Amino acid sequence: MKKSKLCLFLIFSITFQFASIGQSNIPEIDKLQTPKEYYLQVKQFGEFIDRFNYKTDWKGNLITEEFASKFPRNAYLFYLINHEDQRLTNSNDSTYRVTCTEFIAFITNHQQPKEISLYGGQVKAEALVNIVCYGNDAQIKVEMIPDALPDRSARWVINGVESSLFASNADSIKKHFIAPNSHEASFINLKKLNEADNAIYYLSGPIANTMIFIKGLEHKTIQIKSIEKVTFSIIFSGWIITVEEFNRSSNNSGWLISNIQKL
Amino acid sequence: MFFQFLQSMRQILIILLVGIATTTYSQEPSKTASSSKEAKIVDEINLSDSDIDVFKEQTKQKVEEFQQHIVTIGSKDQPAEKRNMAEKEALKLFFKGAEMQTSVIMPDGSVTIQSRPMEKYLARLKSLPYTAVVIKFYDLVYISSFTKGPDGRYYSSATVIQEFTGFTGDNLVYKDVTKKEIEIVIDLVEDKFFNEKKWRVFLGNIKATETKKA
Repeated sequence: MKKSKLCLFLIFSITFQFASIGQSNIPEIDKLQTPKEYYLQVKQFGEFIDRFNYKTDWKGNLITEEFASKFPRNAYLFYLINHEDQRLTNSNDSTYRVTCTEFIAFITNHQQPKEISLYGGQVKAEALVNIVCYGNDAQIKVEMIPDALPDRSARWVINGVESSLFASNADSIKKHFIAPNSHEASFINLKKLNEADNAIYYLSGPIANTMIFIKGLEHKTIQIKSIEKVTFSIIFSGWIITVEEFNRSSNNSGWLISNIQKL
Repeated sequence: MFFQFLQSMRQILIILLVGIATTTYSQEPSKTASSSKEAKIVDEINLSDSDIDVFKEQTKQKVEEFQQHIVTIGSKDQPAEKRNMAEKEALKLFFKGAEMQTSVIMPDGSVTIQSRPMEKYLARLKSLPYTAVVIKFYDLVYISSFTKGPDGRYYSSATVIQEFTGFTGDNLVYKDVTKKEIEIVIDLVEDKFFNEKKWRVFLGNIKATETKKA
């Protein structure tokens, strides 16, 4: 009798569990129709690259012949430039407008159209980072670059740190250095590093800053609080463009070209 | 007779258990390593276009599940038990240590950035100082392509847009539209029941940017 009760209990509990699992399917929520400006907005940097490369349309779908006939690449590229840049509307100076037109013509050149390759060495990101350094709030710029590994995986790596916080001590520079003529003697002076108590002074400014930053993190004298802003620089042959996020609710918003410069 | 009854009960139980397990696991991503030995060679697994489509669909489902939980947690007219359950279930969608970074535009144009652990963000959402809260999402979910990380996991990001309205009594006192960038991580996890590894979608850190204030 006891065994049959146990069986019944098990059946009930399993049936109940089965029913609960059925109920765990989350019902769909009522969603609002997305306003047009959010489709047009460049929501991610990857989306910026896909649009720049004329790969996807405003909805993220692959560009069709129909779309291409309505929006040729040069017109589509123009939408990726910050339209609220006063240099575009300045009636007294057309320099930037001309630069933009020349750049678009360079990218859409029929014989040699150009694209952005995230892992091709063209892209750098600069993050403005809020930190706490020895108890005080401060900001530093961290340059990040994409790094592709042999197993076809990828990552971002720190390429350098820029900050006035880590200014080097002038007296120490006078003491710790490799003499200017050392290259003539095959840098024999590098042996000085064997005895150096602070080898950081032998490094170039950006590398020394990076080392101080990394050591500060290791010793807990520096802590990262938040990331204030990110900008991307993209290099083409003879050109450099800057891409920033324009956080506004208009058709021309999101990740856009904030500057085009001829090198 | 009684033993025959027990025997048939045992068979029913086994069928039910297998049924439950199949129902539960069929909701997970369908890419399954054919054996645990094969699954160990994570570095050699590369995603095909069809895998990417499956992952995009699974990511969309996870994001929508998160959106549903957010709506429930914020709804003050829902029973506390249901809101607590939604909070608990929402946390299960995330990688441990996930954070929410919010940036708010101040009247002077400056931006205030605040980072909170996901647990704190969700708990705070439950106790906002309004008598009623309405959270709605736009139907757009933008998911970027998937890239393999050095750890063998696949990484992507999803963008969703949320409309938040806070009421005190009948008065609308706060309304904003925020864009949420959600990190997506696809991990190969051990399925102890079937002794094999399966790909699962997890949510990671979220960057919330206020785009419009009413």
